[in-house]
Amino acid sequence: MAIMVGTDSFGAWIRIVILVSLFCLMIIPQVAFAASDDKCNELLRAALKQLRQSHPDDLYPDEFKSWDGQTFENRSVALTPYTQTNGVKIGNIVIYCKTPLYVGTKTATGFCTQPDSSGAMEIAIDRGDLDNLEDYKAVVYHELLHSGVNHNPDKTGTPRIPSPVIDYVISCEETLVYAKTLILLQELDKTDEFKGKDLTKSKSYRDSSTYLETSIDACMKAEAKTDKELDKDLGGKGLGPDDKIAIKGRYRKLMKFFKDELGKIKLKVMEKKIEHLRDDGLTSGENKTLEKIRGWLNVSSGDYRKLYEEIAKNDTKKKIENVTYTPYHDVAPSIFGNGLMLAIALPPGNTIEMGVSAENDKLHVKPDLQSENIISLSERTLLGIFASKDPPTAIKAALARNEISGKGSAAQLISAYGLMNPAYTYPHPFDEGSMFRIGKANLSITRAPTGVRLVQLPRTDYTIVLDGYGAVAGDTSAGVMKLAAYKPEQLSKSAGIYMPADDPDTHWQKIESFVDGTGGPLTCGGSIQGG
Amino acid sequence: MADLQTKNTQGAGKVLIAVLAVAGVLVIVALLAYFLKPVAAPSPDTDVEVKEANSLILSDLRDLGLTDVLVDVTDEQVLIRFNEPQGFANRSAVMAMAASDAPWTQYIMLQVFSNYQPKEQLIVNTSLALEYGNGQISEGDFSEAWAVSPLQ
Repeated sequence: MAIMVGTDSFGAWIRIVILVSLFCLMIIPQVAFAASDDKCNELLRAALKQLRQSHPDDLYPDEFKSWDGQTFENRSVALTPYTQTNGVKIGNIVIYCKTPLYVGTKTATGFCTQPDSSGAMEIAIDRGDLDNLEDYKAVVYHELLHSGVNHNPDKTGTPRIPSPVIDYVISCEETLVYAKTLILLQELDKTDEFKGKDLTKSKSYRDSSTYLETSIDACMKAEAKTDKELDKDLGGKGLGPDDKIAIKGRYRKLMKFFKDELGKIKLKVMEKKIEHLRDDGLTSGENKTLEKIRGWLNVSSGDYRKLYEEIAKNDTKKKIENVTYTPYHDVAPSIFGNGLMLAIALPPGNTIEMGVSAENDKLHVKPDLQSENIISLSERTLLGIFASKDPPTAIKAALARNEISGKGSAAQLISAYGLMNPAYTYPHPFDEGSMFRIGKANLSITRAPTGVRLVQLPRTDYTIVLDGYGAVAGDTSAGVMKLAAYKPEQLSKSAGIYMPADDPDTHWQKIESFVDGTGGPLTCGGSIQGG
Repeated sequence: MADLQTKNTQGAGKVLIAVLAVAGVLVIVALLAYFLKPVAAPSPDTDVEVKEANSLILSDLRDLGLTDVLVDVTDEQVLIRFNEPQGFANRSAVMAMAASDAPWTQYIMLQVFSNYQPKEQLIVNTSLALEYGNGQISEGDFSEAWAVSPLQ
């Protein structure tokens, strides 16, 4: 707009200045980047030179020996063993491919060279730092299958060799884990071997899942490391602040990657379980589920949302299977007589159908229990009820919102309840102004500008966030609320004003210790009451 | 001829009356629909909605030492409000982390408070923050690209 306002000659000058500025902005990062590449390649060439000092031929697994000189999907393989400077012989495999997947400066899983005139590169896989043959096989498999993938394309689409120090962090671990998963999945495909067995007890499954879980844990710890610790881990290379931020970002991405891989394994195991569950074929529902899972396993590496959802659903089921609940007696009585008994009948989609019947004073959840009284509710509703300190009241809240529906005699029960206590007359138990009683303390529920329910604990800055079922959704502080009060119209309804609670029970313990002052359990017979 | 004209005029009049009648009925129906809405059950309560990107950034910022902070990620922007501790000099890192966690957004907006009083607002292009996070541009170049304004 400013350009159009001036005279022609003035406009022309402005245009020239802008063009020159844009040119500079484009050139400066490229120059800096090229320097980084040169340094990286220099290190890589030196490493490769060292790797090829000698060629013993007795360091390869038999299955690899026949690969020498062969070509796999345009990737040729060469066995080029060498002897380390300390005299230890190492079997080294070089894969020639068009694009590198990983770059490293330490002696580990991946070395690659600068592309030659034809664009081909070498990836050298060094067995030296790998603990066992299984790891080594895994890496080779992985590079063979995936080295055509370029994870770090720059804007022009050409292979990019990123900062070697940063990529070292990701290259070794990611390669190993990905390949381990691959091996596991291959093993699981040998259906005869695993027929009728519980795959979760197989060594491959245990090894891989343990490895992944350990890796996830390691990433979490690595991400929490101080700058000094990072420097130490990476050989005291004196990382700049930018590198450290990038490394932590990599750890986060790596952690997500591990979680995804773990999800894949779990799904694969589930698939096998279903396959071997019946000798007389699968039901249509099982076939449907299986088809869905097969589809998910073939999705691109970035599309994991569905996998997550499936895993989350399984976790929900697991949680349900393990629950034996005793509702509090001194709050409103259960709507279905003296107690509840819930059981999963089917998990179609995101809705869970459960058998409902009254029995004693306990809420038992057994997956095999059959019941004629079926109600349907979402997983979220169900989890909300379980997480609530007062399940009967939480159920009432869910009923009031029409989040539970039923058929058979359960429908009659709900219908009868609905006639007696329609939503219009039954106050919402967890709304603003409701009193929230813990021990002797009466706490009131307020609303944040974004609408979430808050309970400010006395004598502290600690503020808990409740969901519509009275379960702890997370925690925040009075300070954050002050920030939220500034121009609340700028905030969306889902603005992050609190940290979600991973484990609501832990939060309850924290809350109780705050209020009680002794840290011991409180005698709060149902901590939430309608206002 | 005159008869024909009269008939035509009468015909046009009937059409006009029919159109007006239909329009009138529609207006009445619309009014009835507006005023006689069925009494609906109370709308579902405002529920707790968790956005993964918000939580991720919140967690990252806590690692950076920011405790009083709120994050609002939308399709377009990442809004971060925080009470800046004394001596805090990691605004670039805040932006880089936000960009890394929400790379689909167009810009990052920091609203900085001091002692819970509004201080200033900084806006930067997300892609630029990503480039900074990836080490492709220097901190100096990055900070020059910020649009800084006082927070009223």
